[in-house]
Amino acid sequence: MPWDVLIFYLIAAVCVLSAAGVVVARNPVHSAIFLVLCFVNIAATFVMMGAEFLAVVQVIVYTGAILVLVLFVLMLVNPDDLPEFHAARPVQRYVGLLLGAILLLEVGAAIVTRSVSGEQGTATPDNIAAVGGNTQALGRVLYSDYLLAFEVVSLVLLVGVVGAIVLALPERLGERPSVARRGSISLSHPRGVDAALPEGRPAGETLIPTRHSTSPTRASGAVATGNDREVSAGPTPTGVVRDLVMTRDADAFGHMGDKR
Amino acid sequence: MPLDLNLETPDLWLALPQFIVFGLAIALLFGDAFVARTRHFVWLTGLSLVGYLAALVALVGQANENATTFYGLFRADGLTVFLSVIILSAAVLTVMVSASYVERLEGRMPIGEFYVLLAFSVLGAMLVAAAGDLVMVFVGIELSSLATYVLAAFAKRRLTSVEGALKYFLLGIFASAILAYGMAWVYGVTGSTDLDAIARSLAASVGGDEFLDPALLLGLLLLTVGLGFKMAAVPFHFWTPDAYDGAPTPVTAFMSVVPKAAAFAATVRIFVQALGPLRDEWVTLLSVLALLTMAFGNIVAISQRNVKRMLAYSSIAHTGYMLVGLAAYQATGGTGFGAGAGDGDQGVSSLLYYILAYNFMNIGAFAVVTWLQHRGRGLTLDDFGGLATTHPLAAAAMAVFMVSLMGVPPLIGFYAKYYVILAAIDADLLWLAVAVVVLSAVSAFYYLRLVAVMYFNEPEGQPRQADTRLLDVGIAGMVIATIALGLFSTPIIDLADKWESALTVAGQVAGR
Amino acid sequence: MNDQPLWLTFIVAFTAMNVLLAGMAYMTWFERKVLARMQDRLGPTRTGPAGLLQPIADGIKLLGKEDLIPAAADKPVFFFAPLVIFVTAIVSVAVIPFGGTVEIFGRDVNLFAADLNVGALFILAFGSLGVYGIILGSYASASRYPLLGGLRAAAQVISYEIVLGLALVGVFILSGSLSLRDILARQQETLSLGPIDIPNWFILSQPIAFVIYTIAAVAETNRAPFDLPEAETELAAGFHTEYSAFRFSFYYLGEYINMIVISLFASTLFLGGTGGPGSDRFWGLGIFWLLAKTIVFLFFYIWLRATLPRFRYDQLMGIAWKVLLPLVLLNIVFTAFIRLVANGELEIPVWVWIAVAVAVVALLALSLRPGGGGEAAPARTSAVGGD
Repeated sequence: MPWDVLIFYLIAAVCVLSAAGVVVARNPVHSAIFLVLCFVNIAATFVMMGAEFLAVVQVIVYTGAILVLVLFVLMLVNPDDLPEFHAARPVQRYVGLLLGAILLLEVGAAIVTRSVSGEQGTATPDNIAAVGGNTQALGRVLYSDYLLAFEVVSLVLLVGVVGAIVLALPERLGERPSVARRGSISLSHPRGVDAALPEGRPAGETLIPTRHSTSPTRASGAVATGNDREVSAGPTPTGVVRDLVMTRDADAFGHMGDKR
Repeated sequence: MPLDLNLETPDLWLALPQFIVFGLAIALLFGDAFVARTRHFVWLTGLSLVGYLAALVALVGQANENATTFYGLFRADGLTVFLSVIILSAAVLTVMVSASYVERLEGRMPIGEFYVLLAFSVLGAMLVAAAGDLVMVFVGIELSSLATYVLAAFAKRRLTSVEGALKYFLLGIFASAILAYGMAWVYGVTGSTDLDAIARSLAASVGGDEFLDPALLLGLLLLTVGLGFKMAAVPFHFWTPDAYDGAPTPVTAFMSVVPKAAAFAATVRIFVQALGPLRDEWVTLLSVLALLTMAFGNIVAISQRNVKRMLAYSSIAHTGYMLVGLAAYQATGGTGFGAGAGDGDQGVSSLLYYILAYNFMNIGAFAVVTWLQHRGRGLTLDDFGGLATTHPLAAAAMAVFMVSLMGVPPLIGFYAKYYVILAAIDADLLWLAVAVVVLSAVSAFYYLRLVAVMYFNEPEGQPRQADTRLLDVGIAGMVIATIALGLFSTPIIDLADKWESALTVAGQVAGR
Repeated sequence: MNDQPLWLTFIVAFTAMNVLLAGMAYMTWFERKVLARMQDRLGPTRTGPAGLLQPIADGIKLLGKEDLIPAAADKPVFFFAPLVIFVTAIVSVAVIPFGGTVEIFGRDVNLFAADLNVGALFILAFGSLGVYGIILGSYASASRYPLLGGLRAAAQVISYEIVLGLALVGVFILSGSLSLRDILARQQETLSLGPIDIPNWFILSQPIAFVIYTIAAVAETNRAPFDLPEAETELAAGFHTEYSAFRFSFYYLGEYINMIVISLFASTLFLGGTGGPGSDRFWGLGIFWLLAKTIVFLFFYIWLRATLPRFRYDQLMGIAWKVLLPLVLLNIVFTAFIRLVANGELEIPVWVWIAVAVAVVALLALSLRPGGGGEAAPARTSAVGGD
């Protein structure tokens, strides 16, 4: 049916373009919107392949929950305050491009000279129809063949919950969850020799400074030189911490509107 | 009716040790919630120790199993048992090392959650060791890593901890994605995620000297990169120094052993068991990786003055030695080391023995660092100055661990390297064997420097007094293990041989 | 079900959509009237008989207003955000069955636009997409009240969506299907309780799920008493503060259509849908019963708005996570258990039943003991909007 093919190409094109948009867009919120578009289109391709359940779950889980949370966080923190991950090392960019090109060639070669050595699986259209449809077939496989993996995944989620609580919950009442500011963390190069804080000091000396006053009128620019207790030892680039609450002045929301 | 709902009851007894650890984790969660805060230290520490020891006892019953359950997802065989022993003993040692640290240093971290996450990480690693399916390998690695990421950030008010954990987390999930992508390609080519089925399919299709399928090669490369990240092999090691340095020291001790053991377990499961027919390709890849890792780790470690960073690079170097063992894998079955051994492969046996050895000496080294932190010392080389005069026993213990890490007879570290070298020579990888010897000599510089600092420098300042009984017992135990297991290495390597041979036999049964 | 030509499906969908739009318009009238009566007023009376032309007048007024765009707005996002909420709301109606296959003018017509075998999840999925309309609109406004409203909406909708989805699991377990038509068909059966025959409506077998669904649905649609994203005393108009005229009307439409869809959905899942006296003889009666049930549900919405004060934000979250979620999980476990036992797939010895009964009684006694458990710990104030 040419119509099917046409629709598929349309969906696939939107999907690829929006995926490119995720990378190209400079505003992180726009990236997230493109990602939503991409996921919805992936769900549409699932529908075209007869996997309605997968499509709906994809929409509920990825777009309905995960990306909403991504947007939530993006709106909560000023993108300018995020740690800087883009290292100023052109060498890495070229090496990255080269490796990406090699990977692309590999993938291309793999697709062109594809050979499938395994036996055909049991999930043929006839078998799926026999058990009543895609959803039923998926349920059967999930609760028999992959039962253990399925249960362990629930443990992974449990660990995620425990970890989130451990890391985000303030140890003492009144202490704010804190994030490190730009410049304090770099993925590009390991720290220098002896850069670490010596451990084993009495508690309190090696703490990340936290701010307790949350004056709504402080401009975000003043944070770095503000009255924070900076406790640094040696060359450690000490992070200054900003509260994760929405009590900043209107200037801080400039990023919400400006188009880059 | 292939898609029939065929709910056979899984043989739960085969997974008894894993279930015990799972029960322990859940019990710890409830204990954390319902035991009074003041009793957490005693109760939860005791519960953890009892739980891990019970699981170790349960493992004894599995010693001669060779079966699968949970529809092939779970495998109880010699490899599972050997690796689980290593992982569980590492867990016991970590509990002993960490209890007082978590309770007292760095502003009292929440000890209940610490043990819970530790237990889940251990469970994940054990599941990887017992995996019979690519999906299970991945899920186990995720469970183990996710808990370890959080543990690395446990001193969340110290920026280095958060930074190290963030790097570990970002690069770790990146590696997981690559790993999953590699698995997807392997699945795509072979049509199965079951390790034995993959081996069967590949054995049928890959033969002689025909050109390797690019899709398979791509899958192999991606798997290597993903697992390389997890085991901290060069050039995928970038997270290691910062994460090891930033994490609380007992967590570093744990991180340097259990996730590494899990990564090697996954590598053995995937490469040896599933991709065995591609042995020629990945052996070359792993030998190059091994050489790079050994050379880089040892050479960079020389310039470190922070002991934790030094140990981090040393752990990278040891990854290299372990990779040599894996690179010495011979698909033909090999001859084994021991007298009564069957057809276990020397490469894998030496790897298993190396992880066991590394477990005791590396956790031991970090334990001594923890011990010093309790007494108000820092982490630089200078802080170790004159340790022999102020604390002769601690200095002696550290010296034993350093010398063992270096590989001096008759300590366990020597035998570990000895078997790896034997395996490499047997596999005609003479250059790798020579590299191990030469780079061990290089490593002597920084290991012995620490010993020299402890014995020949003058102490600075008065140390604080601290009562760390559990930690003392742990260090003593590890010293004894480091000495004794070296002296009695023959039975262990026989055991490794025999248990590993179960895997090979199973693979052959499945393959032919 | 038959394979009907595309144009016929189109007609059905088109009709349903337009009925929905008209229904939305008169929903506003209905709401104003009911609210007024509850407050001892008359409501709109001037435009047309009994104010029946009021929605039209409102619409003309909205369209005639000036279209304001904040200077700092993220314009493309500002433009399409209201459309998202409108489109996702209206698409959901496609899977609601208004009846089976009937003969109209000598032709077999399916009284539903699409028979997805995951229809129930489809509605949930589009409901979850609707929240983008709110958060993107609030973000694009480049203003603080909308931003706070949007954050609240995101947190609220995600939390209640979990409850909403899980509340339906009990129904799915009992009906064994995710298809709305199958669920409907299951409810057409009759249960014989001795001498009386009652319809097998899932509200009877899943009362807890129904109550939880109703609460979560109110929160999903941001209606009072869960209308914190647009709490006028705190946030001006919340997420749509900066919207006016035509664009605002899309939000307005979206909100009301969402209510109607959620009510239709509830009628289909719990209240027997098209089932009712005579509905098996004439399809028009089926549609009548469905709409009647929906209107009862909508009346309930308005009743809530007239009666209850707004929740505090931490209370809102507390209800979802600490009360509804555990309850709904218990409901699922219980339902699955009952289903297994009822199907004879699980044999339970008598002593287990006795032990369970004793344990339940003991737990109840313990929790009712004065000073015993039962009181929840004081809630921790949420970081968002809490201060």
